[in-house]
Amino acid sequence: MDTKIINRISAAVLLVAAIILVLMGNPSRVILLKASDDLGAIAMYGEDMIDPLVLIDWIIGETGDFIVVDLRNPSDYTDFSINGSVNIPFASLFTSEGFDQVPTHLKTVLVCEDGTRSGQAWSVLRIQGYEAYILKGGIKGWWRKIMTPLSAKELLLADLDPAELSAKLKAAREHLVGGGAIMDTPSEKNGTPPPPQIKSKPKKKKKSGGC
Amino acid sequence: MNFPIESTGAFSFSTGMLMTFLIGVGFGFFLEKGGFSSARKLTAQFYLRDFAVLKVMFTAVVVAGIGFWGLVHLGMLDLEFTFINLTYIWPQIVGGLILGIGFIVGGYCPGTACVAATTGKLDALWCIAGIFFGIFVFSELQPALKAFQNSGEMGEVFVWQWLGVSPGIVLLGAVLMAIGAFSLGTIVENKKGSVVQPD
Amino acid sequence: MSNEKPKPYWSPYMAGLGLGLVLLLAFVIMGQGLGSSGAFARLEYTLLHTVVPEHIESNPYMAHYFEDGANPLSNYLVFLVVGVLAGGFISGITANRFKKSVDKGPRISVKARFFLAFFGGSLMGFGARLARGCTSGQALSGGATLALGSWAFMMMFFAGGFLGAYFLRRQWL
Repeated sequence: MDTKIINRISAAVLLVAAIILVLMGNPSRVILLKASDDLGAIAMYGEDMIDPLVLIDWIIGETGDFIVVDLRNPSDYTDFSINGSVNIPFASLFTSEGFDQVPTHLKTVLVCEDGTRSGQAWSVLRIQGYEAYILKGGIKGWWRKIMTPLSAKELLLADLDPAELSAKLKAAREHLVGGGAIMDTPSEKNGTPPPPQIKSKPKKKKKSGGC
Repeated sequence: MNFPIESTGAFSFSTGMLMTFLIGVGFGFFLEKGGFSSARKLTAQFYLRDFAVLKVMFTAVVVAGIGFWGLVHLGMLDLEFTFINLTYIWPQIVGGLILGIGFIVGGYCPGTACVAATTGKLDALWCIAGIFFGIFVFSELQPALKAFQNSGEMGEVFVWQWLGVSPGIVLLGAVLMAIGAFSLGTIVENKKGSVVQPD
Repeated sequence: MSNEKPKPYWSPYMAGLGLGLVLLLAFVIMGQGLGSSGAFARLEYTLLHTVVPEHIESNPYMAHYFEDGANPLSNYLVFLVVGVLAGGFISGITANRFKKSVDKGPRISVKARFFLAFFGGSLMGFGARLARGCTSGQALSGGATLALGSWAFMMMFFAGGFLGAYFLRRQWL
């Protein structure tokens, strides 16, 4: 008889504990809460930035493991934006609705006018555990480097052979403007993020386990 | 508090291994106490005569699961430094099936075979020898089986993510399922009077 | 060994509660769950490596354990399983349950039981390596962390057991 009562009490305790957990809701933020000490180092070594020439490789490669978030005002976004990007205005990013629009399992590339706002958003997102990057030079940099480079010489920083670079940029523009699937899909333009397919990202795991 | 303690560098490798040994002692102790050193008790689960396997395992999963996710919610347990089984869905499905069949054939699983061996079960020694043999066979064939072993890779993904709910809901479901299954199991056990005890 | 009658097993709920707390402790202290088949593999690879080192080095799956001069036995799972042996022994001996015996149903010979134990063990060794874990590493530990693949594993484990049960009733009943 005694054990029966103990069993019932244990079951009740577990039940209550589970209900409390339910009330706590979704821990997606908490899960990804990482130590933020290495943020400084990341920024110091420029690993917080992504060059437009790298981003274009990602876009052409259609790796599907990233999302481009445009932090500018909706009006600027409608004027010109990077194909496939999602508009979450800076002011609304730091609300829970804003955050929820940023998938946790994708690399997030932040775009703003010139990179300043992206830098601010970057710190917050990184502390929250997002794998965020700043698009170097913002939309201006994108326009100048990808859409309208006057000559490849202008971009010598890219460590690429000028001829190779011209070819690359030509291919990039053809991909972006040349009737590619991205331009034709209005839903992408309207800011629906790519379907959140769960992709494993090569996370640095301290633990290697296995039974 | 910052868990896992090991990730904070609070103790050395040898201290960590001493702790691990003690955790192992606890693991073996409770397995034996639950009757998992007896192949007849273990396999009786699959003849619906003794529900110890289900009861012990599911209780442990639910208790540890609630504690685990509770600590995660409280921000005390850092998942970044915690080993989570990666999901490779196909090898896990096939491997689980093979293990289940091996379990009913052999009478133990790898962990319980160890515990059974320490209580003098000679069949457990043969089972352990078989496990070594099976590991050898797989390891020799692994280069050929590699593609399958890596198939269905989904990374670190949780049941609740997959279902699109919170961990609490999955655990609540598990608790309710456990209570239901345990009650049914107990009714069956009492009716048959078939709970296995040591002799 | 004492001649006293063996004590009955604990209530499964109490054993499960103890096991669950140990599992939680393993995560809290060491950041990993419980497991055992990995320790078997590590011991086996180490022994093989001393006998036929070239052969092991030529198989990337096994050679991986010896990368950079690593010692496969200097590992969490190995110490854990040594503890399991000690814990099982302590519990068994103090409850008068240590007895040289063969655990089987009445309708099967000892020899057949040994054969089936070996055969079942082989299947489990194979399956555990394939699935990257056994009952403790996948079903128990992965189950508690709510890892998706581990839950699939757990369901299939029970399915496999029930599937095979009919054909093996002579061994157990």
